[in-house]
Amino acid sequence: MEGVLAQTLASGLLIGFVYALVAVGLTMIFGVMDIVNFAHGEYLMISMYFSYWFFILFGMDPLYSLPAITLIMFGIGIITYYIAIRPIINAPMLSQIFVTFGLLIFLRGVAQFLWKVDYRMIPETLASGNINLAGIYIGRPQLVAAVGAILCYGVILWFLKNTKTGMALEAVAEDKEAARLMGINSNRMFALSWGIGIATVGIAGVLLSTFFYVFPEVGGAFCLIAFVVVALGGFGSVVGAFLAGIIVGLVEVVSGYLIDPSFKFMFVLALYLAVVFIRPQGLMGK
Amino acid sequence: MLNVEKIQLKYGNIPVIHDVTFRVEKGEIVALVGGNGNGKSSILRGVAGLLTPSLGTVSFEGRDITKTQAFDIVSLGISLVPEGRRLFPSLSVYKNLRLGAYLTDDGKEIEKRMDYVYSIFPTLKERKDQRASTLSGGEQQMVAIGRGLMSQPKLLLLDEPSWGIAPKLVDKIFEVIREIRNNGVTILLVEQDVQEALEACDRAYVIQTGRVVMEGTGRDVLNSELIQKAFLGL
Repeated sequence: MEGVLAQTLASGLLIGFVYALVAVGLTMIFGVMDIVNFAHGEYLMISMYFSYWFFILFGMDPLYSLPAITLIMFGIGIITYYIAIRPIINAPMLSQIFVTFGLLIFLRGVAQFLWKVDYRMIPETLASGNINLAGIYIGRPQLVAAVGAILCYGVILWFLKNTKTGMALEAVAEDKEAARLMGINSNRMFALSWGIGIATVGIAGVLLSTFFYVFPEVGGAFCLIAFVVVALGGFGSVVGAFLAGIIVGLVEVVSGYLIDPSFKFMFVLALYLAVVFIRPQGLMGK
Repeated sequence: MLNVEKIQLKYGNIPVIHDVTFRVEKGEIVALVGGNGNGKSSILRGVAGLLTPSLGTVSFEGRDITKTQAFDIVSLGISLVPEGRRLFPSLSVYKNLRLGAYLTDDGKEIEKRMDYVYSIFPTLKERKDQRASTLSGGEQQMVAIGRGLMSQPKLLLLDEPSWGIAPKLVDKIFEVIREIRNNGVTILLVEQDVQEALEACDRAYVIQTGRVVMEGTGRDVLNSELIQKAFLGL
């Protein structure tokens, strides 16, 4: 009994780190430019397909293709910003929602057109297998994904807190006009936030592809969870997203274990509702 | 140094400034005074590039900057300390100042400017790791002015430096403004505390309903019937 609970907690914690990484990009884009990217999950899906095709076509293990895919996703984020987002920066919020939601439908449609609705899986990766940690069996891919997520999160936080560009991103998030008075080109910072935001969700996608099916709708579930994480952590808070990711991961598996796995999202969403009612600004929100 | 010629400024379709002309010479302190809602702040925003004049021109050191973007104007040597201070509230005093020197990467140079700011406002050195939002109004104004100085401007624009500050600190702030000028920075300021501003400045322009209605030396304007009646209630 205790063993099973420990096992459950461990797997909740591990998936929580990945949720946190998916959510970090979403919260960062929102924090810097007040735009909610409804297509965030679709970028996760795209990077999972990249990982899959790199494996199938070139025999590259996801852990080897990760750096290249991260760069590609960074570029895709920047391109998305200049093509789709920049024209609507000052548009009403409803137009912004339509654009990112339209992006979701478009990207999903493209994936269905190119790769059909089949579920695909990378059969065997460097990360495959299980390890036994003090009697708890942990999937190696999950462990690798969690460690990767923590590292990536650490790098982002270091970048934000210690580099001039990171400070400028925070400055733009806090007061766009004052940032311009410092000589900061906010447009470039917006583009950068899309680059980083999409690159991080891309890293999450590659890590997930080592143990999760790849299919055109895969982004949906993760994006929904990412919204819960961002709301719980506080919109725009990178630290909040990290803590909230872990909480959501734990709530999901523990409620699945104690009650029934098919109800697990009910508890995650109940948590979301509770946050909205009790503390709308989230754990670390302003 | 700064020449503003017949500018018109609009918010949306509503003009707030009509046909305003003034100039600032190197080494001067020039004040724009007038009641609230008369468009004084808009003029500074127009000079700093946050608002683009719909008519007229703004030129700085002989160069037309009417349509130059705010983030490029900083590099020309104009720095605006905005109304309400507009600090980055959750960042430390140090980071606020560091961002003021955003266009510089030279560590030694930044250090030098930082030391200069700390020499004017010694309190800020003690509070450098504190979040800007935790400071008092007066200290926040010091950070705002310090941050404006970190880009090493030739022309410093100050929007309501006395706003939200304890009355006894207002004198101190104006003392610092004169000190900054004596160190070679030209100053254009907008102020509702008409008496304080006119005593501190070399020349002044009185703005009413978006127009210049009077100009002269600080003392002349202060002693004028218009100011005595309309603003000081004497």
